[in-house]
Amino acid sequence: MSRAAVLCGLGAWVPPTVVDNDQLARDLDTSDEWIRTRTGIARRRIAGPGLATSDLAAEAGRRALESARRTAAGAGAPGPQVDLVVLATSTPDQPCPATAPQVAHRLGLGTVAAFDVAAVCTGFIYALATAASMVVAGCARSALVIGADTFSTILDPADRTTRAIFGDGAGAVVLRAGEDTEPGALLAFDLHSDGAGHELITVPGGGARERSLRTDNEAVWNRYFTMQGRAVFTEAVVHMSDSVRTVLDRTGWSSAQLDRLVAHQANLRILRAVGGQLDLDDRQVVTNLDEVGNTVAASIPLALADAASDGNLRPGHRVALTGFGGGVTWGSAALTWPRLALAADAPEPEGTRLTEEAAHFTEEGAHFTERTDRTDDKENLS
Amino acid sequence: MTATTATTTATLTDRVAALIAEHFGLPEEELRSGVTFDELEIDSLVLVELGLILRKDMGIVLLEGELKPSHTLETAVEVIASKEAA
Repeated sequence: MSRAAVLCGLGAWVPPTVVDNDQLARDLDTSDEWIRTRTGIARRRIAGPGLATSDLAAEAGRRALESARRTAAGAGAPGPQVDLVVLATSTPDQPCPATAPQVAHRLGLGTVAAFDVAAVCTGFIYALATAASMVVAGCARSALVIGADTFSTILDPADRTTRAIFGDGAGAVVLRAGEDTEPGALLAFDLHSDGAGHELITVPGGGARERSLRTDNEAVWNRYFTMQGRAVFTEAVVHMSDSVRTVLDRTGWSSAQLDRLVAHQANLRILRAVGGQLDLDDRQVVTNLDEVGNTVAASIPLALADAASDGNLRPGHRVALTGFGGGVTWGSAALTWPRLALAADAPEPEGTRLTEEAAHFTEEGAHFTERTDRTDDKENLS
Repeated sequence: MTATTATTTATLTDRVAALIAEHFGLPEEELRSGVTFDELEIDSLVLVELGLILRKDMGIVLLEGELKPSHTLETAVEVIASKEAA
């Protein structure tokens, strides 16, 4: 038995605005059939005016903290004392500073350690590994790990491929210090990068490279998200499959013993191909991207929240998480799924709609307001 | 082409045709009719998926774009055979 970080809370939130394939087909040369057959996506959520990454992150974080408090209360244990917030995002509210401190503040967590992790679609795995390591090392007692992105803010409105794939969302988990024999203990990690592929998934402009090179007479560099789809497809499948094999080796589980693979929801055909490489059947591979698209750093905790709330993910399941994203980066984690109380079962809190709250932030700075209304959890979790 | 190479190519063609038929639901006789993947409506994404299946089942690593929609089963097998020999 040794010290481990234990997953003890889970929450997610997607913004209420739905954009389905038919709506995209009105503006772009695409169709519902084209998008569904190539990506498996039917609709996605878009943050829209007034909502930024921190707004989504704060709501997912609030739900994960509520889940952790309810889980602890159900076990007769004290709630976790969160003293670390790690936010995985590639769409921070602004280039500087990090978004995590503002999220921690809005959640009323005080002056805790808070920082962002940028690993694009692998961001949640990287953030989870970072936070878990800090908990195991004694740097933190409990950690809130959030994946949140608003990719709608960096997509080229004329790009039918990326607009079909990506959606906005946020998901979060709470980790506490515990033992590796407990359900929820993070048992193994595997993290990698290969910067030779840094141009496969990129926003070319807007950073230090453009500012250092671009002359006054040169056009502004492309500040929209770009992706080399076919190359990414192969890299994603090969690296996620190899990485899952690595964490399975480390936990001593076989592919057949793995109950659920929760992979980054990149594209249904990527998920099926990863399942094929690992000899998993479709039942073992969790999918929710038909309803939310690829939500980048949010996709793994969003898929966890959906699968946990609909009973597809159950206590005692052997679970592997895996992701692949820009950098390029990839990685995996393994755990046995714990018994969790979800915030979706919690009584309705008081407060304003998030959009009204966001407007309030704009007017009065980052002052956390009481809520007076909110949309239904189940609906938002889709 | 030696008799042995011809036999190997025929075997490889059989294996690749069977893999495509199994995973993508295309009748083998259509694949063997000499038409291109494009004409069979096998697009570049399917060829990427085929590359991943070949990697798993036969240990053959193809680079991005080596299998093309303009290939026929026969020309694709030539590319795959060159990898197998390497």
